[in-house]
Amino acid sequence: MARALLDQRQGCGRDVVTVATERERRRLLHAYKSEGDKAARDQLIEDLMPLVRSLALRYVGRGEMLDDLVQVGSIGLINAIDRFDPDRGVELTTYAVPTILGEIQRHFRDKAWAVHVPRSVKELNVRLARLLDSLSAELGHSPTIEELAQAADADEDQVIEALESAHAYSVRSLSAPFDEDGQTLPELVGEEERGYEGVEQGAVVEAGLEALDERERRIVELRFFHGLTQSQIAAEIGISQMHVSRLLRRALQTMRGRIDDKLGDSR
Amino acid sequence: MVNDTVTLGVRMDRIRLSVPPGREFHGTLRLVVGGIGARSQLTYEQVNELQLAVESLVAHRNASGDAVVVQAGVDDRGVYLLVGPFEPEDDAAGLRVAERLVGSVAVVSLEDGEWLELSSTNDRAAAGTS
Amino acid sequence: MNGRVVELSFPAHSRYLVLARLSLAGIAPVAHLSEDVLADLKLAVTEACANAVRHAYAEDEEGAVRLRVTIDGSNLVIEIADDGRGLGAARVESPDAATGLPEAGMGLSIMRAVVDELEIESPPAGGTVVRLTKLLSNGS
Repeated sequence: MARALLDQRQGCGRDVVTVATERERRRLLHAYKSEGDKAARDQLIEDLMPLVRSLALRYVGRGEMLDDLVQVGSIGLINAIDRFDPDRGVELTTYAVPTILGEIQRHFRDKAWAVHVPRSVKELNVRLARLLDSLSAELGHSPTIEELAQAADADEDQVIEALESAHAYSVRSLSAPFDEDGQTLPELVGEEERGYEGVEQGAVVEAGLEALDERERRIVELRFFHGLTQSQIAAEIGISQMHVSRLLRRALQTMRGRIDDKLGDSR
Repeated sequence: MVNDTVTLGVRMDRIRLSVPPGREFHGTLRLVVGGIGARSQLTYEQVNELQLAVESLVAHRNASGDAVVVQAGVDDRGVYLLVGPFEPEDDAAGLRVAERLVGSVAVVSLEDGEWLELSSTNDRAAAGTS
Repeated sequence: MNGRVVELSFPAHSRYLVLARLSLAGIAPVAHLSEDVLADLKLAVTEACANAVRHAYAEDEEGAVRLRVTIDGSNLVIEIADDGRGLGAARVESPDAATGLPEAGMGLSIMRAVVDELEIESPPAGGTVVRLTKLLSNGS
């Protein structure tokens, strides 16, 4: 019933915000609780929608549209109003926040997230990976984050955090085969720290290259000996630029004889 | 605290990050350096390689004090980092690799240890990686 | 026990708020934070930092926001400080003057809801410090 009211309100295109003081809210609350005044409750809901909106805004960028999040959050608000006991000495807004947040969080859990990274963020990353390659081809160089965000029609912050969560993701899957090719980390890591000898052409060290698989070695050669950019390497090998980044990173770690900080971290 | 030079007339935003020494905080260094890069005019690839350079150099060094600090400057040309202090280390290979990744790399010796100076600017975007 | 401390300072501008969230993401595995707790803390910290960005400094003033996270065995203490006008709690509680919306006051509710302790101070030296404490438990 309340949901229908909200739908109707949104359908009207009205976005009215009534500013009420805490005293006014108490009055409305009292009218609703003791007299069953539905209009008072609706007024209260409308008054507190900015709170729902500001909480919902924080969860934008996880693959859910703001309107849906606000809808879900408003259910939490309604529940909070119904359950609120004014005699408890807590303010309604303080009481409502955990209920609203809980409702939004429950909504996400119900949507079957992947274990560590929400599917929606992974989807954004897939889109970004594709856009990275197509924009690089178009522009002739790697795009800035701003350009990526515009192309993805996403907020810059969302893009930054999505890209960084890809780092977290690769770091967390250490117990599984280390990469898509199924190689495990022990296979990739040299047994001990290797000594280094210079190579005349570039900065890369001969000894370290032995520890790499064929593809990584090729990427390192293309990057350091031939001076190709990551996007050029991606085009050359036929994989995405993001994949080149990941492989290059791992190759460097292997060559430098150090393992990513997450490995074997049993602290 | 090191005073890095300021390009006259150009606004520079300054960011400072301090983490405890130890591998478990290298992820934090990497994430924040990435965020700083992403908020500058650098391209995705430049940001990624700046992260790589920092990560690969820091992984090979031991902190000389009780914190590892990143002092960053961001202007409309790019990002300038000063990372340290570390115990003196002969890592010529690592420095050469880092130099191939970002515009310029240097080691600065100060009282409290060695600091790594890295910068990545927009001029590289057009010039390529050489 | 000596706490492990991560400190970040950045210009008081909304474009750098993401760095605070990235710092927390980096700290999460060290403090063994679950996804939910990390999300909640990002929310609270964004609120506190955004508040500093909006209100700490006057229009023509440039200042910094400082984030300090201390991992101390069983709890996480997060402090957000600025060297600005320092109206303290009143600043965080009062409605946003420009629009009349009580949203700024709601920021406080948001913070209170996701942490275990919340303190706001205006030290004599000036500025404001918001201190959030989150009790850590294994598998929280």
